[in-house]
Amino acid sequence: MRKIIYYAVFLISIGCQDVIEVDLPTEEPRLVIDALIKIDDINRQTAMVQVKASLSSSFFDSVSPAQLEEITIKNTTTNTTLTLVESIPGTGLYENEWEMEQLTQGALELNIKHADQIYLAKTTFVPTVPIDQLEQGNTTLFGEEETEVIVSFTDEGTRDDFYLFDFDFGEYLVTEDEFYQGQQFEFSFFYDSKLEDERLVIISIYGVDKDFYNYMNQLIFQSGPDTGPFSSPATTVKGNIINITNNTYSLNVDNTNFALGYFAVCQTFSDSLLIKK
Amino acid sequence: MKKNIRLLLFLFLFYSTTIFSQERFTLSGTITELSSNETLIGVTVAVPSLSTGVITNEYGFYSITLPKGSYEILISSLGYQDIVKQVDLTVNQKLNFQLAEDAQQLEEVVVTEDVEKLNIRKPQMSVNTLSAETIKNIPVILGETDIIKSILLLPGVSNAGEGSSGFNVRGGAADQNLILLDEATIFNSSHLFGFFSVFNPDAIKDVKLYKGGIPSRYGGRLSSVLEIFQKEGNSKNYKVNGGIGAVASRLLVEGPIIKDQAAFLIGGRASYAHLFLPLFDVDNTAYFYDLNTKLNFKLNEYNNIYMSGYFGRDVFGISDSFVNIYGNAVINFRWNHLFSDKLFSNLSLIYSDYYYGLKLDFVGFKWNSGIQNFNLKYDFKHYLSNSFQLNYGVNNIYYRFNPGKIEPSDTDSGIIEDQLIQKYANELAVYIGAEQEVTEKLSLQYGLRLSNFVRLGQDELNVYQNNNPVYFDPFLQIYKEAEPIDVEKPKRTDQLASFTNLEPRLAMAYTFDPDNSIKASYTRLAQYLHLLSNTSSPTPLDVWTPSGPFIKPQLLDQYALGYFKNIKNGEYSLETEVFYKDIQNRIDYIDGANLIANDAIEQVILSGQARAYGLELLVKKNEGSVQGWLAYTLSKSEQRTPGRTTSEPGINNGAWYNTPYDKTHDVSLYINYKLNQKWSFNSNFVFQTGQPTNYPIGQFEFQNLSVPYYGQRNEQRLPAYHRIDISATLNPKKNKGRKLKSEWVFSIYNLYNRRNAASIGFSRNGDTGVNEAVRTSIFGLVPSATYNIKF
Repeated sequence: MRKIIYYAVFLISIGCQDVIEVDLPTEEPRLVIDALIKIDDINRQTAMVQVKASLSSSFFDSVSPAQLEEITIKNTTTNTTLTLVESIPGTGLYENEWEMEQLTQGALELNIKHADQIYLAKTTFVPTVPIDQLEQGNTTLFGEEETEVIVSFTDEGTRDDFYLFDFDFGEYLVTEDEFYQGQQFEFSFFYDSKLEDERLVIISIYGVDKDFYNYMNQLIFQSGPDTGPFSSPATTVKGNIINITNNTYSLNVDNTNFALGYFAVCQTFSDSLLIKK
Repeated sequence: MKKNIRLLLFLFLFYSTTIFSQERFTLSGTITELSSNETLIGVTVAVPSLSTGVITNEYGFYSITLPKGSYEILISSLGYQDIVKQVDLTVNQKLNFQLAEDAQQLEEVVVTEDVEKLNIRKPQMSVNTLSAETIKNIPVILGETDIIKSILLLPGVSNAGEGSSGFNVRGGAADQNLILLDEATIFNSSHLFGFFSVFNPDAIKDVKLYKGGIPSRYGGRLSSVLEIFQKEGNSKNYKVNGGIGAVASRLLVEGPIIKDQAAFLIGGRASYAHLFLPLFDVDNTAYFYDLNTKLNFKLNEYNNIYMSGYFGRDVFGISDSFVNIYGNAVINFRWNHLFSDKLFSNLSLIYSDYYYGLKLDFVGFKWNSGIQNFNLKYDFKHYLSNSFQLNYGVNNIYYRFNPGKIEPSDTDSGIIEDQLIQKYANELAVYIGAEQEVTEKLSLQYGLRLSNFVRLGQDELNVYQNNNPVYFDPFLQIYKEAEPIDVEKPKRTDQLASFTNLEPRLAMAYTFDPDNSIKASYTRLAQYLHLLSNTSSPTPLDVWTPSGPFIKPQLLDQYALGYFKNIKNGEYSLETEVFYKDIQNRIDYIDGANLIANDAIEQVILSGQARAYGLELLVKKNEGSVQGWLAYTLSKSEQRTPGRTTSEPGINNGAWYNTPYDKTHDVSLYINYKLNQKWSFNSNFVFQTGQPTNYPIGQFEFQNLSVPYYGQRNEQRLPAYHRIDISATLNPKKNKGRKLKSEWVFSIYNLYNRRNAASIGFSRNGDTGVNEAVRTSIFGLVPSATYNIKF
């Protein structure tokens, strides 16, 4: 919404944008854990668990992989633990295969040791619904250089759902069912650029919980284009990975040495669409 | 009992007994403009021999009580010819005056001595007035004369930059300004997201901005009162006034219904339908219009009736997929009644409404929200003597808030119709205030306002564990929305919450000599409404929410001290003030709070505090062919929201942080130069410290997103903002002796084409994959021409 207003302001003004040089403040690199575990076929026996560990960088540098001392996932209901290993050394990509039931039933914990610090995150599996239909539309909002994709899906009426959509190209969107509980819901997504002819676009829906929905909402906003006077205060978006080095499980978690990123286990459905000119 | 009250009043008001000691008579009347019968505000009625005087009120009325005797009365107002009149005051007298416009302003130096002297002596400080004439002269973007843009040139007033709406007074938020159009509250002062303000300059008579020392008759907003008076209409002749500009065209017609007794005024303004947008080759519309109407009837010497109305809308649409309409509507009935030549009263009945509507076809919904209020005001001005005036009255406002209703935009839409819970409230205030000249050197203005706000029953009210709608997650160390444990269904007549505040106001002026004075003031104010906005600049879809069970009213204490000086007999004037403001219960939002369509807004709000302090300097040149002012403000504005308990960090770790409108230095220079009858020139120069912003302290990757992240709030600043604007006004020679007068205004905004940053964004370039800092600037050099006519 704010994005739309901002575009509107920009359109009616004779505004212009240019790239400038700015001296930026920095801080020590932080551990970043991308532990979004996608369950695309719940009927399979096992699922591949992949977690990406990296270190944050200053804005104009590039991020680098992180080497963890240990990374495990534990199902605290069944008391089973899975250790993840870095298959190709130096990539920061830790993985292993686990039984589907361990991932989708019961409470999960992610435990990480890195640079003598201990991190912990908790989550549970969140189911979702499949995409009913993907269709290319032909309307545009802010200029000819846009591609419209119309998505429809049917919300599950018995629970409060939160959804994350991945539109490929690093484009994401979150939505919740407050105003369409149990309905088939259709909406349009606009790519800023004209996609090339015959381009295959893969669009995914993820089931997320309210906290992860809020987290992704902030991430999308903060990584997106500048919205000028209509932007809300920018912060360090805190995920669910906390530092427990000095206190195990107590309420006094270390408020400053947290890791960035998120641990979530989400059911997902994907569909593809061939873009026509 | 009655005696007791009188005694109390007596003690409270330091009632000076001297007024009974001599036989006294009252001179009263109305001062109007000669050619139109338009009442004149702020005209000085001076008695030089007693070095005393009064100023006409908002309705042109004055009353002065003097000892029996013979006096020379001087009536003066800037831009008008003075009237000197000999009065033998042996009985109470009614004297109406008509002032003629001063046509030879250039050749003849206007006697302004007494006006300025009185201002020096009046305890009212922290106030700026702008005449319609000055507002029209100030060069503005695209030649579109604008009240809000004009007041930004005054000390202590700024905004969040070009293309942002609202304004900030003395480090206060944009929702803390009480904007009154003919006494009716206006909730959104901007057209087109802030590019223009909603007031048609042709229909405006006078603008007054109170930044502090706010008299007890005003209340409900903390930072300022912007009073805008519409013209009443010419009851002598029909007049037409219009203009064609780069953005909008205007037309205003006024004239008598019954000569010298009743008049009407109707003014319209509309922008061109596809403003700027054809440039972009998209099927879009963006326009605004507004309509001002006024009727006035002078029933007799003692009764006047006014009806005024305002209706304005903005329409913004992109194809059929996105349609956005919003605006204010106001209707107002007023009755002026003179109980006696010392007691003036005004009764106002006001209905005002702000509407916001949105249709988003590509998501399949329509959205309507708004706020309505019914306002009843009864104000009395009691001119007890030339040295003592009493103001008192009562004000009741009933509010209905519609935070939003969502509806499917067509039958295929999956959206289910839903009305967010409407809220109701009533605000009642009674006030009394006095203006008193204690001695020749010392005058006081003091008063008390008692305000009460009741939040009335609504359809559903959430109940929370420990009455706490915001939950702090000790594990994740973040604030979260608490889940309600129950929902109550109160009756409409129930009181969900009630607040009562006593708001004392005090101001004094001590005059050293006719050209020098110091003034001091203390103001306490309560504000019961909050604009839900966590962006630097308010947007039209921000909704207002009342105080209630979970949100407390904002409270302000402001202290100000000033030194005022007239130089060269009033040719120049100097005003310096320092102020300190302290605000309690300023709302702030938890990180990632969603304010739009949020049915339980209490779940994302925490209560904090704000403070601002600063120094203001205003040097004015009031006379001659070159006039203008230099304003400088040095200030600081910050806020904080500490944790509610020691185990919570609060917002921004509970530390003070700069508000988005904190500007350390703010300089405005305005010059008006009348070369001759044909040409006049105007220029502005503005320099401001860049507004606070956030630069990323790092970045990380999550999925396919590259995410910059930020440290403490508002620690960096945009580059300094500055620009020069110029305009030239041409009154062609052929106007002379002609009924139809025409005028050309040529202007250039941002003369040296500086790319002032409206914001700096940090994101990854989608094409190159490289991280960039992108500066957005709104207006470069913008030339424009406007053609105005009058007949």
